[in-house]
Amino acid sequence: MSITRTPLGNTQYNVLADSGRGLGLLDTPFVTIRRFNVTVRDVLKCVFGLRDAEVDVYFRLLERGEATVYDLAEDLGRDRTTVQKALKSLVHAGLVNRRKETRPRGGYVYVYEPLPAEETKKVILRALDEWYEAVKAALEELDAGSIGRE
Amino acid sequence: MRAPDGTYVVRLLLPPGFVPAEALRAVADLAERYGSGRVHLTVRQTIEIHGVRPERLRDLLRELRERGLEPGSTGPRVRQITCCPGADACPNALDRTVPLARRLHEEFADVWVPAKVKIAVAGCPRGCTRPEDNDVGVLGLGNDRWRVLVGGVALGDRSGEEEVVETIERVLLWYARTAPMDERLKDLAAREAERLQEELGVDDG
Repeated sequence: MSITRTPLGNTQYNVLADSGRGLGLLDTPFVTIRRFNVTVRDVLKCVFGLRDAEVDVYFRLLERGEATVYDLAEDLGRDRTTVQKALKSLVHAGLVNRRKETRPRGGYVYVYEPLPAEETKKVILRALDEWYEAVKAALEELDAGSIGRE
Repeated sequence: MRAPDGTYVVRLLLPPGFVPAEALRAVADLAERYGSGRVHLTVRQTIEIHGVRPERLRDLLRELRERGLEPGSTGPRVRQITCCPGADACPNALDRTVPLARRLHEEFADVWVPAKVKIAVAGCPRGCTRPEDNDVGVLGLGNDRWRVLVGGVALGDRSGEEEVVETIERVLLWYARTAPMDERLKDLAAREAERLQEELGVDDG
């Protein structure tokens, strides 16, 4: 199998944690496998089944370090309900944590932050393993004749 | 979703309870122009437009959104929330179900989870929407008291919309943290009933 690591490939998970470098790198291929350019976005969409809108929220949150739903809705020009649901999805997927913060004038607000880079790496690798095992098992169980010649 | 004949099925995600006539007119129009001219009424109280040719899918989705309709979820997502008409229409109901179901729709419909999650709201213990067979069932007891069931396992009773929302939020988080990929919440609840009740139940039920 032909695999080409781009320079970014050596630092792929630091990219996830590095808030200063902008979203562009997360959409830049970090590895090319059989001429297929793989980005962090591709991996998240494939192994978790996340959507572009959710990945956009995640990347924006990585840039900010931490944020409320209001911050992200404003940054991305999306309505609050959509961003709120995207954040719930990311929390469920294990990529984002949230904490309650008391507001000075009373009440509270949820603050969201991405997991630290090392933990993120583990979460993504575990999901990738599950995805690979599931596809492999399904392929092995396919009836002979479903693919190829009998 | 792709049908065996190569055409697409476009499922809608509808706010639960009642569908405005205007939305029905839009669906009828879109089904005639983009689909086979007929729709399927699903068991989960939504509508599917059938017979959409692949090359027309993108335009249909765009127009759907322009007309205030949302495409529904497939895959590991919270599905269309079902409810009975509740006290707005049914003499047996002990409470109004539609406002609660709509709030759950706002909070959870289409959110990512390890495997599909089905949520149903019923306005009385007769449970016409089968809350005990859903991954999460909410059952009206009257006076804004609600029994929350997870895979048929009762977590005790809650007072008011906020408590129900908070409970379901905690249940889904527990599910996401505990379940392996593709395990349904109701299966996890059957396997871990005791732990579920310990961690998320209340003893006033």
